[in-house]
Amino acid sequence: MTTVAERTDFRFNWVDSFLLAMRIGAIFVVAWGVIGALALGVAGEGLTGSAWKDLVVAGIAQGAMYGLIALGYSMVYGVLGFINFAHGEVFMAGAIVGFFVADRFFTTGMWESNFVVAILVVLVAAVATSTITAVLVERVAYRPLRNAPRLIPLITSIGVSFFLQNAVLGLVGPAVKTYPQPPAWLAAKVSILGLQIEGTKILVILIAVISMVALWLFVERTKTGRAMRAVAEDKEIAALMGIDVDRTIVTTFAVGGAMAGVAGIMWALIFRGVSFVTGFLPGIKAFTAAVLGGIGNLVGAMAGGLLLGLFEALGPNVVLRGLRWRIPLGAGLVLLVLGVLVGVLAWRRGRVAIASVAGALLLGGVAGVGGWSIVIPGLTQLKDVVAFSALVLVLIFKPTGVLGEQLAEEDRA
Amino acid sequence: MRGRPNLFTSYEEEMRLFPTTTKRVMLVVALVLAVLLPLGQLPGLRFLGDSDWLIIIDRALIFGIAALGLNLLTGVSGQVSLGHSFFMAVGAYTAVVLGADAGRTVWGLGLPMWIWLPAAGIVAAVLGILVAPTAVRVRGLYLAFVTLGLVFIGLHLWRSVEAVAGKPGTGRPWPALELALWKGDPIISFASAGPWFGIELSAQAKSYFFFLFLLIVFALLAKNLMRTRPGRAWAAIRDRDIAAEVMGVNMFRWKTQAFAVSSFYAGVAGALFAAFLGRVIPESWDLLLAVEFIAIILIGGAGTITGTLLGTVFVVLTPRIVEAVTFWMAEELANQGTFAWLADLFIRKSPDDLLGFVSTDAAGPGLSIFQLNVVLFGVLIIVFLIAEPLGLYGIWIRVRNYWKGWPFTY
Repeated sequence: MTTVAERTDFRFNWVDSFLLAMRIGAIFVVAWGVIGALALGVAGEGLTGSAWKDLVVAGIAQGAMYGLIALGYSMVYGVLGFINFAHGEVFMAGAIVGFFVADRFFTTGMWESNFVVAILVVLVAAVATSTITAVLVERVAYRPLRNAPRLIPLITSIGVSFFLQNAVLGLVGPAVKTYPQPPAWLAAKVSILGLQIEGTKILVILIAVISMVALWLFVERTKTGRAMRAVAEDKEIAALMGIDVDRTIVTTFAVGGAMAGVAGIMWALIFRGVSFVTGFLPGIKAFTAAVLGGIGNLVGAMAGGLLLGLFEALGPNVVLRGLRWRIPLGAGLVLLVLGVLVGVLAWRRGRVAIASVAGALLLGGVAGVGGWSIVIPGLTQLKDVVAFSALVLVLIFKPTGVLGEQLAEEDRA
Repeated sequence: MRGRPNLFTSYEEEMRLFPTTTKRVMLVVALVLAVLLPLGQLPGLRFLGDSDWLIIIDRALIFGIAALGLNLLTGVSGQVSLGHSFFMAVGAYTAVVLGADAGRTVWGLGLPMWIWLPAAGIVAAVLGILVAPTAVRVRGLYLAFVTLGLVFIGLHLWRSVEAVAGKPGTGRPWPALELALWKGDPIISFASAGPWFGIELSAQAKSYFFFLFLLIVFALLAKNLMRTRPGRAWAAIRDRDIAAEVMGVNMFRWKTQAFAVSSFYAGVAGALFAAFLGRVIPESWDLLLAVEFIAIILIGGAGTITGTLLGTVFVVLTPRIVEAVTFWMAEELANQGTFAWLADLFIRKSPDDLLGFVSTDAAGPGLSIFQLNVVLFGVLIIVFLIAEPLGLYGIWIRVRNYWKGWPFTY
């Protein structure tokens, strides 16, 4: 604990002040938005209860998909220490091939009559495509660069990403391909725990859980999984222990690709439309999810995905909408006083966390007295911006993620 | 021809901008060629003249300025930025707000170019300074992703603020490249054809000289920055940031300066680019543009001025060459010329043509020329990074070293 006397060596530091300001801003906006959303809800101006629940379920379903893609990023980062930018395209390739199989089933009537078998075959096709794509990309583009500086494979993977996108465009054309409608019994809403959930979303979450458990068992309980963990820890030592490093890396790409293929089918079940650009944004968001949960950490990737899905679903519609709410004048004055008190405490203790709360309280007071109210246009289009803001904030304030990184010592940058 | 080349007997000698005679001779030759390039009318001379190639070259000059900026940041200082297109957009929109006339739905102050062009750089530099603290905290790939986030946040901004950027999909007109004292008639106009010193020049040729002048100024500035204290500090940070800090290089100060300088270059280039094209849609400032600059640096050779300029010419000219080749092939196919069999493999003739994958009309499946370019672009990046990590500059060094010892191999 820092005493007042020690504070004489306090030096003004630009970086820390800037970060403190960002922290204050973030806390202020989120707190104002959440409280505002609640207040608006009480006043009957916000979203209805069922709209809330729908958003949460949609967030979880999408988040599960992000989580599965994030696993691919996380595993590759853990083993090779670079970000495979083309992973989103691997996901897209699976979804596109899945479409052609599904469309074929639809024309023969199998999609309606025997949906379970049909979707399983589609799933296998998508997984196979994504796996093969991932392995080929590793072989052609990344293996020759194994010993280059980190930046080089990153840029290469951007090149691969452009190549795959346009190759798919050349092969299947630019039009959005729409998966056939799932059968009526699946699309119907089911009531679970007081929530009305669409059958497709349940299916999506179920697939995610099964894949995640399978992956966890694979990594933790099999010999290949142990080899993967060993290679992630230290490639040279692993090689000395008799592990075939090249093969293990290929396996990593293959497993990550398979997960991306599964996610491709999940995308198809949620959104139904796929095209050559489908992979790009989900890919970047999945990377965000991987960082959010702690890169290299498999459970973290899944948790990060769910968190990001919820952020995206709730962020624009709840937090940013809540900014419309005016903080009452009385509450503003109280916040100002509280802010000063906490600020004094922060100064005495010299703790950044308390200082940022104090700043947020003061800002809240100013907003209350000034009668601020922010109406942001085009809220529903802000999903991507929310995801990127989350990424930037996490990278600045907690780069190790929510559940912590699991990386070899040398990879921690 | 006295003494050995590369034998420097004093510090000043080694630190000179162009230390060897060869370099000086080559510089003069390059400059003379560059000045003659757009002149098609001089007796006995036939360079590019007034063809549409000149537009591409103009573009290359503008991109060269932006690439020099990114080279200082990424090549010299080692801070990977995927957000260069964001800073270009900031410069371009500063220019349009200051320079263009106000419309019914858009802002504009109608100020002359000597205000809006430097202002474009300065506003971009200020934003760069705001981003810099992140770079102190976040390193390597993470920084790349933060700057990538900038591009997307920027895209959303440009799309939603119509008063600045104009309507999505159409954009708004940029001010013309004219040098005027105030809002009256221009003293020098780079945007309209007319005679200079008795030589009739097109608007593109005039812009060419303007851009060439700016590029030379910016290149000299970059070269000077690289050989003096900022450059040494940046290189120290790039090579080992912790060691640099131990030696007394103030990380925050130099990283901030790197971002500021790089964004200044980007802002000026963005303003020039938009003003040269006349109208830019908000969607143009995307990731592809940013990656194009990364590719310029990597293909050209990171951390070198010559390499950056070579890379720019390569990256900007390749699409035009691909286009020319594609049209030539289509023509060959139509006329059943000597190379029709080759063209047959590439050009898509009917919707169910299996081999051909390039279509010369935009509709239908098959790659358009633009998409073919993006594919080639991806392939080129991969090939260069795998085969020649030092880029075009590395190839040049190898060629030079071979001839230095010729006919001996050592």
